[in-house]
Amino acid sequence: MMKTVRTLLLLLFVVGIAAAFGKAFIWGESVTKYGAYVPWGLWIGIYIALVGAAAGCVVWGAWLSPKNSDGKGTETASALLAAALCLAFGLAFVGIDLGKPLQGFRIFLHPAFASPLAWASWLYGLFFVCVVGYFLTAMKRPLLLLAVVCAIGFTVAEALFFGQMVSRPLWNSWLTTPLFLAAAASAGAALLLLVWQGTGLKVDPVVLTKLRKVLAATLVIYALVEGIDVAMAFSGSPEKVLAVKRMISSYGFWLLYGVIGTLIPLLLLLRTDRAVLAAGLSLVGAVGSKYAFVRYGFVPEPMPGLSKAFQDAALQTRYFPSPVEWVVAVGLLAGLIWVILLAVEKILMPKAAQ
Amino acid sequence: MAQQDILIVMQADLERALKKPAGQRRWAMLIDTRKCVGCHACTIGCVAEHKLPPGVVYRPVIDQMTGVYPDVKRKFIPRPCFQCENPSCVSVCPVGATKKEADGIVSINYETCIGCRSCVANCPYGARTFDRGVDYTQDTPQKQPYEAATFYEYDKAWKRDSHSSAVVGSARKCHFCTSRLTKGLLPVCVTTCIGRATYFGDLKDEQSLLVQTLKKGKPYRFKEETGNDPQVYYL
Repeated sequence: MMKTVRTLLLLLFVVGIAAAFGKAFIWGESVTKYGAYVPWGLWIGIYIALVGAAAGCVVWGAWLSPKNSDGKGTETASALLAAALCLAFGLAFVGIDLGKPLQGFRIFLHPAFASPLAWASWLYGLFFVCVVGYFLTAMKRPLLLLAVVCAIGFTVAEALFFGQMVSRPLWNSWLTTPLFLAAAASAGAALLLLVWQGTGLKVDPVVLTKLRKVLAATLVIYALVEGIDVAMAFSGSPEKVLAVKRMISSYGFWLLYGVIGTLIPLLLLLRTDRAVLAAGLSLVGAVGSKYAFVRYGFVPEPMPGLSKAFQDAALQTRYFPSPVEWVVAVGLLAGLIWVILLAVEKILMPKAAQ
Repeated sequence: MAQQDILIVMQADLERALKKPAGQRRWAMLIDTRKCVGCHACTIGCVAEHKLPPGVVYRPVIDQMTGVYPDVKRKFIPRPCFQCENPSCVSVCPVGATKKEADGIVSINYETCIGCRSCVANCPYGARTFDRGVDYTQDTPQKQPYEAATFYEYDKAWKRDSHSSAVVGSARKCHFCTSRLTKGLLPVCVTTCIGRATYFGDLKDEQSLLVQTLKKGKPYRFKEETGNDPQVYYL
C-alpha cells in the first residue's frame, strides 16, 4: 500500500516538475491566469503556507525535542530537515511564479533594505546555511538556535511585507503579523506531527503527546486570531469589508480552512490514532486559508471601474487558477511529501539505528 | 486675438524646464475631467507609442457613472501613473529595480526587475501592470512586425522580440514618456488628447500653464490617505 502511494506521489511530482519547467522556460505566463489586477494566486498562497509551516516546524522541533539530546537527536534533525524541505518547496513555488524565474538570485545581489521581502529572502538563505551546517558540523546547538531565529525572522518579515501594503485593505493591518505567526505555529506543529508520527520514526510517546496538544492549542489560537482579524475587518473601509466578505465566503476559507482544516482536526485529535490524519488535514486548511488571504486581497479594485476601463483578459479582478497552475501545485506538494518520506528513510532512520 | 493652443504653451514650458538640472524640476500632470470626452485617444496613443502587449496598459480611461436616475453624472477619469512623491511601489521592491528619479518620475529598471509583482500589488491606483510575454498574435501563424518593433522608455531602446527580452516578465507602467521628454516632446497622452484635458509641466515652474491652471482651479487627488503624495491632479 505504502509503496503504491509513494509511486503515485513520485508520478505526480514528475508531472508537476514538467509543468513547472514548461511554464518557466517554454510557455511563460501565457499558461497562468494571474495578471495585473490579480498579480498573485494559488502559487503565492501555497508559498506563504509552506514558509509558515517550515518556520513553525523548526521552532516546535527545537522546543519539544528531548533536552538531554543536546540538539543532536533524531527529533531535532527530522524537524530541521522537514522544515528545510518545506521551505525549499515553498521557494520553488515563488520561483516559478516570478516573471523571470532565472533572475531570482538578484535578490541577494541588489540589496533593498527597505523591502521586508528582501529581508525574508536573506533569512531563507541563512536558514539553509544553518541546516547544512547542522548536519555537517559539530556545532549543533548554536546552529539550531540560529535556525530558530531565522525562522521567526522570515515569518515576521513575510507578515510585514503583506501587512504594510497600503493598497490592499485586507492585508494592511497590524493583525497580519500575529495572524502569520499563529498560522505558522499551527502549520508547523502539523508538519512536525506528520513527520514524527506518520513516517515510522521512533519518537518518545511523551513528546508526541505534547506535540498533539500543541497542535490542538495552536489550531484554536490561530482560529481565534483569524476570528478577531475578520471581526475587526468589518469595521474597516467598504473595500476591506468587501474583501473580507468574499474571503470568508470562499471555499478555500470556510470549507478548507474552517471545517476541513480546523474543526475536523480538533475532533480527530481527541483520538491518538487519528493524529496523523488531523495533522494532514490542518495542513490542507493552512493552504486554503493562505490562498483565500492572497486571492481575496485583490477583490477591491484599486480605483472603481478600473477593470472595465481597458478590455483585456489579463486586466480583470476575476481569477481562478489555470490547469497548469493546478498541476504544478498538486505535483510539487506531492513531491514535498515524497521527498520528506525519502529523507526520513534514507537519512534519519539509518542515523537513528546507529 | 485667438487663444493659443495649450499644446504650444506647454511645449514652451517643457523647453524651459528642460534647461534646468533634473533635480530642479518636478514633472506633474493635471487632468481636467470636465474637458475629457472619454475618446480613449490617450490610451491608444500610449499603446501605439510603447508597443504595449496584451495585459499591459499605462493609461486607461475609467468610465464612472454616479447618482441615481434621473440625477446621474458620467465622468471619465484617465489614470496614468501618479509618479507619487512617496511611492509605495518603490519600498516594496526586493531588488531595488524601481526608484524615484531626481525629476520626480518613478522608473523601473527592466534589467534588474525579477517579475515578483510586489510593486503591482502595492500600487494604490493599480497603475502597474505585468508584461506576461504574450502577443496580440499569440496562437496565430506569424508574429507581426509591430509586436517586435523597437520602443523607447527610460531613455533606452527596447524590444519584445523574444522571451529573454528584459521587458518580458517585468512590471510596467506609465513614465510620462521619459524618452519623449528627453527629446523635447510632450507625453503622447497630452498631444493626442482631443479635448486638451491633460496638462503637463514642471510643478516648480510658477509660470507654467500647469501651475497656473492648478492655482486657478480646485484640484483634487485620489487616495491621499495612503500617504503616497501623488503628482497627478484632477479638476
